[in-house]
Formats: sequence, structure tokens, C-alpha cells
Amino acid sequence: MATIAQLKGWDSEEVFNVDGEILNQFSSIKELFGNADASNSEPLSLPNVSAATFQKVIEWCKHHKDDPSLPPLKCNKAISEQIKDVSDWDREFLHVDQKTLCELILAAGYLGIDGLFRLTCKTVADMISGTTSDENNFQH
Amino acid sequence: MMANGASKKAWDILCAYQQRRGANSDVEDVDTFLATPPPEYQYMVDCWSSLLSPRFGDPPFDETVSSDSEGINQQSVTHELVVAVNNEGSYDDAHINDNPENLYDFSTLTANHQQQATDNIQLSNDCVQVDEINSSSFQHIRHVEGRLHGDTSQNVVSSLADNERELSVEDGDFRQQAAAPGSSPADQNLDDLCDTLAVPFFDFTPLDDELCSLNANLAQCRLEKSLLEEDLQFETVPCDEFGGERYVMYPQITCSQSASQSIDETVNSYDSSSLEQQIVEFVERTNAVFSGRVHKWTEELQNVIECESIESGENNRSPSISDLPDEVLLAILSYIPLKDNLLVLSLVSKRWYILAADPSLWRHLFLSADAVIDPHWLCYMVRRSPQLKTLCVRGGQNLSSQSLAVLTTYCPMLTNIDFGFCNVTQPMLSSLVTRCPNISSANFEGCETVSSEWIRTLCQLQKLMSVNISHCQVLVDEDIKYLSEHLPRLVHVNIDGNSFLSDIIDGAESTDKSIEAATACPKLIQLTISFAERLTFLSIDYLLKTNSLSYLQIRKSPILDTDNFCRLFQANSCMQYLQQLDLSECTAVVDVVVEAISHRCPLLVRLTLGWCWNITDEGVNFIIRNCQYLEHLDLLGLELIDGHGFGLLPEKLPRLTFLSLVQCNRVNDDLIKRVLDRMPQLTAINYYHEDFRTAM
Repeated sequence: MATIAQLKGWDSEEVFNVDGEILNQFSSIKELFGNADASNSEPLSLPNVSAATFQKVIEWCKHHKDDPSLPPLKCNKAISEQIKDVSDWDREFLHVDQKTLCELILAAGYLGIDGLFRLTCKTVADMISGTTSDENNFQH
Repeated sequence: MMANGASKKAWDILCAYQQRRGANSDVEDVDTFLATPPPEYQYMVDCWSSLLSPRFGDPPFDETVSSDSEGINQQSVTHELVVAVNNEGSYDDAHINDNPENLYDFSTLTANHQQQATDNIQLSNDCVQVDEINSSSFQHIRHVEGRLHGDTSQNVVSSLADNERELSVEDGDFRQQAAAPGSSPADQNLDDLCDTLAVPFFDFTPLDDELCSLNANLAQCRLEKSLLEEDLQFETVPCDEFGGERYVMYPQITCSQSASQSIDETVNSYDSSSLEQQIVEFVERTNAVFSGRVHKWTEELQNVIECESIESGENNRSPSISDLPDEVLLAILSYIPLKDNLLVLSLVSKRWYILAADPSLWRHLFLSADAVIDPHWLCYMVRRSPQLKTLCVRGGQNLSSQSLAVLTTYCPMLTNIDFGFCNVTQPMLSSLVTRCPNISSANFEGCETVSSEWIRTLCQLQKLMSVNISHCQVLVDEDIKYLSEHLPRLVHVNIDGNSFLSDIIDGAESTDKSIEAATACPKLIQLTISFAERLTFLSIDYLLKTNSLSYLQIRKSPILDTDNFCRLFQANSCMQYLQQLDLSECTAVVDVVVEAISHRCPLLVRLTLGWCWNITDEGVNFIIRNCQYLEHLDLLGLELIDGHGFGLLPEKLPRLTFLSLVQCNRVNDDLIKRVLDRMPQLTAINYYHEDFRTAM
């Protein structure tokens, strides 16, 4: 699919060519780009996302591009019940240090990738639950 | 000392504001909210001082849970607070003079104030008993003109600051705290409260609701500005209330109180461009209110950022979970399954304590049957969860009207309630209906106080979609009819156990009428009748009038004959959307009926034909051939089948995950084992109620 957006992280000049399938998952910024081929225009710098993180985000989006859109969370049901088990691929994908995970959360929130945001939040929640307050203090 | 009181004050206000926001997420802007405060704020007026505290267990709560506001004030304001008020009896433009004969208990002033809004009160210094003052009720006064000066005024102010209220030393400075002028008194006590909440430090209107944390900082800025020296350095204000941490700016910067860590270092540890953006937002939003100082401050920060960018800043520490903004942390916390973990987390730090107490995380409350539902105790519990959605008090025999009043007052957003086997009386239901209009699912199973009047009250819940009034012993057919006529959105009705009981009242045919009434709901999806002993062919007619039924249960029906059932599932009947069907113990269900079902209901997912012992293999084969979506098949007690058609299961019913063959003594086990080998997802239950796989 043709590149329709050029994006780069704030900390590097490396330009990522993003096609429509992936851009559609960036619900907060996809409106910025039309359908026209934008490969010649100036790359857009993402102020909150580093290049390394963006690389990871794109990797996740590529793998999940065929996922059905997520249903909105229902407030009268426990959220933990509504999240399906994390797939093996995702678990491997999120097997990163805490710094990267935090950056992924922020990036997912910033770019509006609902699926990744839920996934990362759940991952952190899993990290948190099952530890004592002292351990948490240590982690924080 | 002042600063502590000041930041505490800011925090108090933020808490109250968030509570209001949480309780009223529909409210678009603060103005609208102020114009029509929600009902729970009547109570907030009453328990003013206790509600403002962010802590969970401390404030007093007294006996009265109904709306007897005066009584509460008289009891809960216990301070020996003495203010002189002139004895005209009117508090409009009351002059508090130094006449010692006219000493009024301050609690009286508060209570009366709620009846007659006080627009102007003049304090003269001699009359204020400085040592004993507790200014909590100053919040109620719309306009206070202070003429406090000299030693007394200093004492007053410091004592007021101790009490976390703001008054200012200068003459006439109280005017700044006055609410918007021109509102008519007497009727607007709630507005008074909201104004006193909002006006002294908050200027909500130019600010985005989402940035209420920012508001807190803004409030803090303004507070510090008003209380401390003019040239105060923003970042040097200690803030013990947050346990050594304070939040200069949301969401990116967290300043430590420790002297070694200056604001510069903190900035260094953050993503600079994002910080810059935050600052720009911050400035834009607060420009009108606090422009000069923030500009100056922002410039300093921006300088720091630029330096950092040039040096291509080596981050001193990597961002950790605590550096995430509050929204993200709340999202994370919402994934933590057990609330116990939240309680553990709240021990981590003050910040996590505050986050873990966020109302958005506490939306489900389940009270065990033997819990003593004491209104005081309940009050502590639900006050921190104004966004409560689900409430289960199943079996709570000792639920009192006071407890219910507390619940409904604090939790107006309730949508799912379960009062199974509680005795919810007519007045209790009325209060529930008036205060929690959003209830969409209600369970009053086994409620012995149900009456016609009760049902009529229940029907005021126009959003009700699901109602369970099974085993309510005195329910009569007219009630069900009324229910179906007056609840347009109803889709689930459970009237289990009522048919048997209405038999006693109205005789055999009444149950048909019940069905008629129930099926008058055009959108009815689920109909459950566990004891259909009195249903006759008339019921079938009524059932045929429904058009979107997807769940049908008719158990134990000795009267309905084969023809009736055939008619129910005849070619043009409306049962084609059925997904779950339970015809247990209806012996009239024979192969012909099963054939009709299999043709008429191709979408069936669950089929239960327990103890329909006239069914033979022929009928079962119809199901296997035609119901391709079937996942759950219960053939309990079908003695006539030997299951020779089960060999087709893997091809015909690929989705089948459960097959019960309990008490089917003729079924060939080897055949089932072969089927199981080909269908790994299938669980089959053998004659002895054991899993085939484990029994092998």
C-alpha cells in the first residue's frame, strides 16, 4: 500500500513511511492526512514519541492491522473480564524494560491506538498486581 | 503553616470538584452544573465539612440520613464557635457587631443561613472570639466584608489558615471571595455552596474540564499568591500534604520537596518537547488568570529545556511507572482485577493513595448477605464512590431505609441493582426511583413487599431494560401487564415462580394472562418460565405474538401437548431468532416437535431437552442435521436414544462444545469416544455425570 504519511520521532531524523492501514490505527492523528500520496511532503515530527518507540509501535500495528475494532469498554462490567488473554506474540512484544513500556503507553495514548493502550496498561497492571507495596516502592 | 493550609485547601477543592464531575459526567460545563446542582449536593450542604475532606474515615457523620438538613448541622458542627449577629433575625445584610448579648452559636448561623442566604455579613473585630474560631462555615457566606486589623486580625487570619479557609488581612479583601453578585437569595443555597467551592480559587470557565489537575495547580498558584509574599518563588513552597511530593504542573513535572533537587533537574529528566507543549497549553489556558507569573516561570523552564536540548540531555533516570500521567495510571489501575490490590497500591505513596481512591475505579459494590448494613458504615463506603454503577445487596435482610437513602444519595449513577431477597418497601423504592433514574437492570427476586403500587413505582424507571421479579409472592397478572405496558425498553423479564403463585390467587388460566401481559412487550428477548404447569394453548398464542424472542424457557409443562408445541414452531412462527431454548420436563416434546424446532430455529446455540423422554434418535438427528450453530446440547435423561447419529457431530455441529448425555443409558460410549477424538473442544458428560475424557 502506498505511503500516505511520513512521520518521525522527536529525537531522530529517521523518517518512517506509514501506509494507510497503519495510519488508520492512529486515531488521534489520522485525520491530519488525506488520501493523497504525501511521500514528497515534509515529514511530520511526533513531539511525544521517540524514534525507537515509534518503531515498536509500527511493529505492533503491522501485526494487528487485521484486528477487528475494539468494542467500547462497558462500565458495568469489570474491565479485566473484558480483556481477552494476551496473545503470545504480544507477550513477547512487550517483554521489554519498564522504560520502554512506559514510553509505549504514552505513545499509544498520544497516537490514539486503543488496542495497544489497553494492552500495555494491562501489562503494567499485571506487573503491579501481585506485588507488595514495598516492591512497588522499589519499582517506582 | 499557611502554605500547608493553602495546599490542603486546594486539594480539598479539587476533591470536591472531581466528585462533582464524577457524579455528573453528563454535565457539559461548570456553569450548567452550577445552575442545576445534582441532588446529592443537598446532602453535601448538610455535611459540608465532612465531605470536603479527601480522607476516607475521618469526618463525623451523624444519625440523620434523610434530608433533614438543620438537624445535621446542629449536631455535626460541634465547635464552640461564637459569632455575634444582630438580633433582627434576618441574615440579609446582617451586621455582626460587638454586642455581647447577641452571641449566636455559629452552627445556628450555618443552619439558618441555609434558609436565608446571607448576602452580606460585616464582621467587626471585637466580636470575633479569635481563640475559638473555626471558619468552616465561612464558606457559606457569600459576601463577607472584613474589617479585621491589628493583632486580632492577624490571629484570625492565621487561625483561619489553620482551618484551611482563606480570609485575607486587608480591609475589604473578603470581597474577592464573594460569589457572583445578583443571585436571588433564599432559593439558591446550593448555588451558594457551589460558588463558595468554585469561586475563591477556581475560575472554571476558561479552563478545560479535563485539566482539573491543572486547575489544582492553578488554584495553588493563586492561593500562594494571595496568601504569601508577592515575590514568592513558585517552586520553593513546601507542601507537606502530599507527603514530600508536590505537583507543580500536570502532568509532566513532579518536583520533590528535597532541597537538593531543583526544578531544573526535574525538567531534565523529562521529554523536553512534550514538556514544552504542556507549558504552552498551560500558559494558554491560564493566561487570563495568572499571566505574568506563569509567563516568567515558563520562560525559565523553556530556557532550561533549550539548554537541555542542546546538550542532547542524558537522562539521569529512565521514566518509570510513577512518571506516567494520572490518566494513564488510572487506566492501568482499572485493569487491576481485585480491589484488594488497589488497597495495597494505596500504601505506596500519597499519590497512589489518591489515585487508588479515584471514584472511577470503584463502580461495583457487592455486600454479602450477612453484612450488617449500617448507614454510618455505608456512608463512609459509598461517599468515595459517587460513580457506583453496580450495587448488589443480595439477601441483605437488614437493609434499612436509612441505608438505602445513603446509597441513593451518594450514588445517583447506579445502573444495575440487585436487591434479591431484600425487603424493599414501597417508600424505599420510591426514593430509589427518584434519585437513581438511570437504573437499567433491576433484580428484586424474592422481594416479599411487592404490591401493585410497588410495581407502579418501579415503572417510573423508564430506562429499565431488565427486571427480575421472580418469586415475588403476591404479584398478580395485572402487575405484569402494567409492567409490560409502561416500560418501553424492557427486554428481559424474569417472572419465574410467579405462575405457581398466581395460580393460588387467580386460578389456572391466570398464568396464560401473565404470559399475555409479558408478551405484550414488543421487544421481549428473553422469557423464562420455570414452572409452566398451568400454561395452556392460549399461552402459545400469546408467545406467537412476540417477534424478537431469542431466549425461551418453558419447563415442566404437563398441559401443553404435542400439537401446541408444533404450533409454536410451525413454519411461519416468530421463533426463528431463538438462540437458547429450554423445554426441560415437557414430555409432550416428541420427535415431531424437535423436527419443527430444528427447521424453524436454525440459529439455536443452546438447546436443553432434559427429561423429554419421548424423543428418539430420529429427533436428535434432525437437530444434528439442521442446527449448525449449536454449541450446547443437553439431552439429560433421554432413555430412548442410542446416539447412532452422533457420528455426524464433527461435520454437522462443528461448534459444539458441550454435550450432556446424563442418564442416557443406551448411548454407546465407544461411539462418543471416537467423536471426542475428532472434536478436541467438546466436553461430553456420561451417564454418571462425569466427563467422558476423565472417565476414560
